[in-house]
Amino acid sequence: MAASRFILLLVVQTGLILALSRTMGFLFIRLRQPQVMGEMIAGIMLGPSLFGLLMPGMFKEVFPADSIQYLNALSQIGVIFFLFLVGLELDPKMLRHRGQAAVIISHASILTPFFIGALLALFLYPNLFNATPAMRFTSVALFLGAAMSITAFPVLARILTERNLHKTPIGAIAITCAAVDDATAWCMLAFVIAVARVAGVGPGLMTAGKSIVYIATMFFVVRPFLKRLELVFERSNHLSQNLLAIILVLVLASSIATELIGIHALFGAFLMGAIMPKGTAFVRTLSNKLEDYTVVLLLPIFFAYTGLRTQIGLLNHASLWMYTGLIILAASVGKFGGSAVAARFCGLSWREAGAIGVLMNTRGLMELVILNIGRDLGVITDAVFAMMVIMAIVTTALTTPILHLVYPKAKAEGKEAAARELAERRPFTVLIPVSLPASGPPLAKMASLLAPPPPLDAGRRIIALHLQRLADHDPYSVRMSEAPNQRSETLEPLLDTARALDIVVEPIAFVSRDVPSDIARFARLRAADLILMGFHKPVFGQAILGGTVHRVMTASDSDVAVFVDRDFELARNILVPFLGGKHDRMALDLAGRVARNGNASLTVLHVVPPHRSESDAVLNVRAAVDRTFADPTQPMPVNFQVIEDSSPVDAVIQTAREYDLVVIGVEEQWGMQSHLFGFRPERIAQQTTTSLLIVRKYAGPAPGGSQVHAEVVAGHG
Amino acid sequence: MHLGMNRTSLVYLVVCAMFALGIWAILAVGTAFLTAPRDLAGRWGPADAAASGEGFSISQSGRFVRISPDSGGQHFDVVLTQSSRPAEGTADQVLEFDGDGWHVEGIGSAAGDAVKFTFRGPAGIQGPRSGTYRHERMNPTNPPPATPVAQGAH
Repeated sequence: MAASRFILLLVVQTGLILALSRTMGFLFIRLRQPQVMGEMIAGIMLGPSLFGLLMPGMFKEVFPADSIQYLNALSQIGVIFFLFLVGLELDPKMLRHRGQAAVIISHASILTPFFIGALLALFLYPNLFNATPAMRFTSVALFLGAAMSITAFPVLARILTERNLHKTPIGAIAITCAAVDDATAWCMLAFVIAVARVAGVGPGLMTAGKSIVYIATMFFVVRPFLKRLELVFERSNHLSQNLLAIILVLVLASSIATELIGIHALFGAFLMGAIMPKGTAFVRTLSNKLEDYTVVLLLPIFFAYTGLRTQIGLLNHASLWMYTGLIILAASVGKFGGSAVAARFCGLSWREAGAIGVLMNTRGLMELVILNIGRDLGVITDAVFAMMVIMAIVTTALTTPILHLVYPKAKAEGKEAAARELAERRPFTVLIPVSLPASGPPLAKMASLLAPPPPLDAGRRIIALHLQRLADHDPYSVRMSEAPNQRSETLEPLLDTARALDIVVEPIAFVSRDVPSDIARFARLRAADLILMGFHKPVFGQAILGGTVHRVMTASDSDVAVFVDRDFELARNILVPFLGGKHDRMALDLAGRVARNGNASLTVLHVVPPHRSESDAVLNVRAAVDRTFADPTQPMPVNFQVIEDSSPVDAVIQTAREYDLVVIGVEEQWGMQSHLFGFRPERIAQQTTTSLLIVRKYAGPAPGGSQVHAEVVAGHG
Repeated sequence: MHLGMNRTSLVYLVVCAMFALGIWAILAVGTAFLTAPRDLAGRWGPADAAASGEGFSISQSGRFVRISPDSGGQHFDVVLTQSSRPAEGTADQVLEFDGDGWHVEGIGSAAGDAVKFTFRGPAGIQGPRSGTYRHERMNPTNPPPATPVAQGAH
């Protein structure tokens, strides 16, 4: 095949892999699974198990056998740098203050599945392996043991972060154990590879001797040199291209060294990452530079390469599926049982020990790396490779749902929430989700007007929440020390404004995979009375009440207000369009708060069809407004204005020009109902130049749409 | 016994020792008593007049074998049902496979590369001809060399 055709083919393959990988990753995030799961499945889909099965002709065109070597080369480069990044994430400081528990649990979570894997080899060897020199029983048993004992540290970190468990004792123990597991498992694997590759005591001792010299060189020569490089970085506070190139060359040199020694190139990359200086700006910058290309471009190619070698079609006999089930069972029992029993032995409750066991059973990408090594060494057959790939996918996919059962979020969060609510009286709580720094200050201003001012400050609580989308993070590695915290740069402008206004705001920031759901969940957890949101022009369409706003409105148990800031400074004149529905009444209540706190005048605008201004319905509305402001301790002058107009929307647009702020409910009559895709014209929002506060009253647990209509008492109902 | 170690450390050491002993026992038993099915994976080319024509390829995972004729005909999957040890006075080994309506028998030296195959398939389906075939291994680097190799990642 001509070189130009190979290049074209490689470009097509890479594009296809990238597109399917990101799509599947996105879908799996929606299914509340780690993104890496989707990317692994995408790889399988591109292989003979699906693409080749459904469209064999096209499959041979797109992935001809002689082109696979190029994908392999790219994927191996990707895995080398990925393992370097994994090593980079490992920080021995994690072991501090964890006591014996982490060490015992992590070693139990390695030894037990290793033993069970080796035991399983006694049964599988006569049935699934061939009598080749590479598949000697010793190699097979040790390899199966090592493959069963791996835990995917990066995927585990991701799951913990997604569930906000990483700061809990359970999360801290799990992540420490996984880190120890990774380091131990790679050392064990290096040993297994050496056993599989060399025959006889002499070459074995030679490999061991070379390995010791290599490791000593890494620690006593290369590591000090890396610290010098760090000094160079600190001097300029910049990772120059030359510095980056030196580090990349070192990674590759380390890989070549371990390959020549006979303990595999990936071990060299991993050890290079492990000995890098930890927790410094140098490492963070380096990691950021490498992560994107490795994770977005090269790892999906590795998944595709793995998928191309995975022939699920080979499992065409009932007994082969029985072996697959047995492998999954052995892997899960070994990992879960070993970790859980050890955790219980260390004093954790059964529920917590179960959670640790479930978490440690996550294998993910690291398992695929090991399986590919085994396949390349000839230690496992094609069918066993397919079985083990299925095991890796199943154990990883089951982690999140089983963790949810064993250790529900309510368990992790419930105690905290209950203690907090018992400890303090229920103040009026406003939750302000902030996605961009610029949104914060106007929301802080509005919150200060909505909640009672001092001396009633104790009666209000304002929480600023910044959720960082998980998609913005590398899905494989999360620097645990940096992930969630009480501060976020995004919240700083809001906090500055709050300080200037002399109001107390509690800042919270964490990583989220589903921002609207997490806003609703957090509001429920903190018993927020009101979610006060900002508005950003959507990428597609013009709607304010679509997309994220719609999802928060429909998912939350709190009232929601969306503030459309149009150079809002002071609320001197406030307009409340009012027809009498529940959202309107909510709008009236909030407008009253703003008017009282800002010493503003309030006008209630009631629009009726022509010749209906004297009807009983208008009197009813008037009475409802008066009741709202009937509190004698807080007298509130309200201007009640009735306008006859066949179009309530036009009447509001016309009248709003004279006001600083319009507070309006999401009543259908105003054309302000929220929709997921937001294709509806929101004329009031688009055609008024005044700042808007769009209000939605929580409908209650039962469907409340019809109820809203029933409550409309005025002429346009 | 008090050697400065607490109960947890003692349990830990005992478990580690048991693990090492257990692994050693498994490796000893497996190496001494278990054999994997004969390696048949690779291409088989005709070696006598009876088998003249095209050969076939075998993809094998232990007892589970897929035979794909070179002619491009439909592959079929069979399972090794019997693998005799060489009879006394002869080096020949008999292998019997069944599956997908096929019965395949192979007789050949356990140490050699030539095997006489007999194929009996479903009526009307063309399979490889019965005859003697010679084994051409599919992947010359598998098994890997006995000494470490200098190559890329894999």
